[in-house]
Amino acid sequence: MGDFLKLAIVLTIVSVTAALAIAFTNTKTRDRILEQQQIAEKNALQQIMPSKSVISELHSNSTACPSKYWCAKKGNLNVYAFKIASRGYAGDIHYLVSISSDGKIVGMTILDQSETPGLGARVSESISSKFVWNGLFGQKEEGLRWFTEQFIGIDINKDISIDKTTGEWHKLDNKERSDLLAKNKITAITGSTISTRAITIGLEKQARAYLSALQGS
Amino acid sequence: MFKEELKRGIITENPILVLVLGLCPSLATSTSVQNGLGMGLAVTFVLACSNVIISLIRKVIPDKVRIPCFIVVIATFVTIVQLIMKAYLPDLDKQLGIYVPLIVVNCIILGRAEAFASKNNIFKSFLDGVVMGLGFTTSLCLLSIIREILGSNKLLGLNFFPGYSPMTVFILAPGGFFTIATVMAVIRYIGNRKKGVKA
Amino acid sequence: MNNFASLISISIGAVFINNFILSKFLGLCPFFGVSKKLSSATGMGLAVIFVMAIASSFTWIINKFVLIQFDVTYLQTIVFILVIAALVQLVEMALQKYSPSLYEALGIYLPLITTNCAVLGVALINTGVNTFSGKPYSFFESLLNGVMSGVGFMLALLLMAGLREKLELSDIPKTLEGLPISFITAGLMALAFLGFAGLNFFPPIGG
Repeated sequence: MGDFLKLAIVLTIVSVTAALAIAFTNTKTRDRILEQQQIAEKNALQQIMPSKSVISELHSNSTACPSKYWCAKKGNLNVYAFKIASRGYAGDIHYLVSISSDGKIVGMTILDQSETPGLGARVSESISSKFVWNGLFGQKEEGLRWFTEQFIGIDINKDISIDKTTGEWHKLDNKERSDLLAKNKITAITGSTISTRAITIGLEKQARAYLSALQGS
Repeated sequence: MFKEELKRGIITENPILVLVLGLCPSLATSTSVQNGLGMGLAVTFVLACSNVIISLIRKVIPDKVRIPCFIVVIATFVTIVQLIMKAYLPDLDKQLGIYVPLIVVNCIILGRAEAFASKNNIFKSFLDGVVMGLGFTTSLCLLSIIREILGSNKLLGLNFFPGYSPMTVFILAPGGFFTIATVMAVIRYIGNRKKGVKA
Repeated sequence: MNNFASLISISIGAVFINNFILSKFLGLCPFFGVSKKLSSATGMGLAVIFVMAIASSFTWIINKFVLIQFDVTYLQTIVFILVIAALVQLVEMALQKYSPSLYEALGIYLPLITTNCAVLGVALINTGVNTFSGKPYSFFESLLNGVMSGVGFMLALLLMAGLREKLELSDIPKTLEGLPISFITAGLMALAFLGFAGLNFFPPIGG
């Protein structure tokens, strides 16, 4: 019995010390962890809203509108930004999209996805022209996130069609790109139409609904 | 003395390639050098710290409850690493996913605690933790370099070969197995040549 | 109907698409150590399924009613691993007392399973979001996930053991003997299982 008591006491002391150490670390890091989420959100917003614009955050209680959304101005048009989640291949793809009141996309960025690396995950890939030898010591360059870039100017009030034959957007020249835009078309990721379509469907359904609800209110 | 220890950790008793411990995180996080490096350093931190604490309390812990105590100590440091990562390196934390908490069941850490830290003084245990962790990190980076270049034509996020279309399979599951098989075979071959054994 | 679909999706997913060993790299250490003979592979596999089932249930309950309630989810790692270690210990003692024959068959593997990435792995996965329904795992879904992940683990183990028994009798170059050829075999199996990734039972609903 004495032996057992000793074991129990030792274990308890060790556990309590451990718990205290963890709790201490938690108090030191908790605020920063919450901050990180807000930093990520702010960065994403800055990427898709017109530069140097004043962005205001608004909330809504109605079920038709997104619960949290942002507003800015581009010329004399209102630009609304909100989050959308679409079912992709391996789960939900979460993205932030900003649309002006005429229905044209101003910017889009992927927030979260868990698609297959090398295939569906390419929705958030960034094409850099830098190679290791000139990139490591040179300037840090923000690569081209071509998949989301190609949506700029697309009209969500019309159907968005997917082009599977011309080639991926980052390889096309300016004329081919403006041709696609005129037809409200975007290029798919080779080999992952499902991930591509998830986003176009999300825009056609959810974004359209949100936009009309926000403009109506 | 430090040089011999370093050689032991990285070459002769390399945790992944020689002792074959800690496989799960190795194959899962070696998809890019950034991930591999991050994981390796996290493991080194946990290994060194837990070795020190366990060595500190080794004379006080009764033999019967030593494994649960080791687990508690290791889990504490893993949680501390988790929280620090979430606060200051959230992108790395997202990339590594569940493999960060899984550091607690990394055979290397419990193995070193049992085999070394519970029997040696604090300084030696700390050194052992550091060199074993560095050995783990080195082999992890080796695997990551191979997989990142072949599988996504990138190194540290920057392009590698011009005009090369990457073999995606290398950053997926089978690639992990093939890479480690090849690295182990090459090491075996070099070792055999040294010993004069015919391949 | 949707619930039923979710259960099927979890089962097929855990065994084939997200196989713990061949796709998620969880549970590798015993995989290469134990899989040399079919008999030991079967014993290990059954022990793992059993431990994963009870571990999934207990950790889910503790997560929901203790960790989330008191907002201490950062204690997840340490609480889960202690619960698993304690459970395995209890199971071992119970088996020894009430079913010596079962203890003979499974008992030696049980302590190994405590530090198995697969058990802690499935416990952690169950605290997340069910990718099919987009909602957090319910108790029954967690239990199912635990059992089926174990089944997937056992499937990979059995396949490997069968192949290795044959490999023992083949002529392998000295450089590849032992671990390298086992890894190549595992890689080829993983490649085959990658084919299951196309198994999209319930087509995604966009938007």
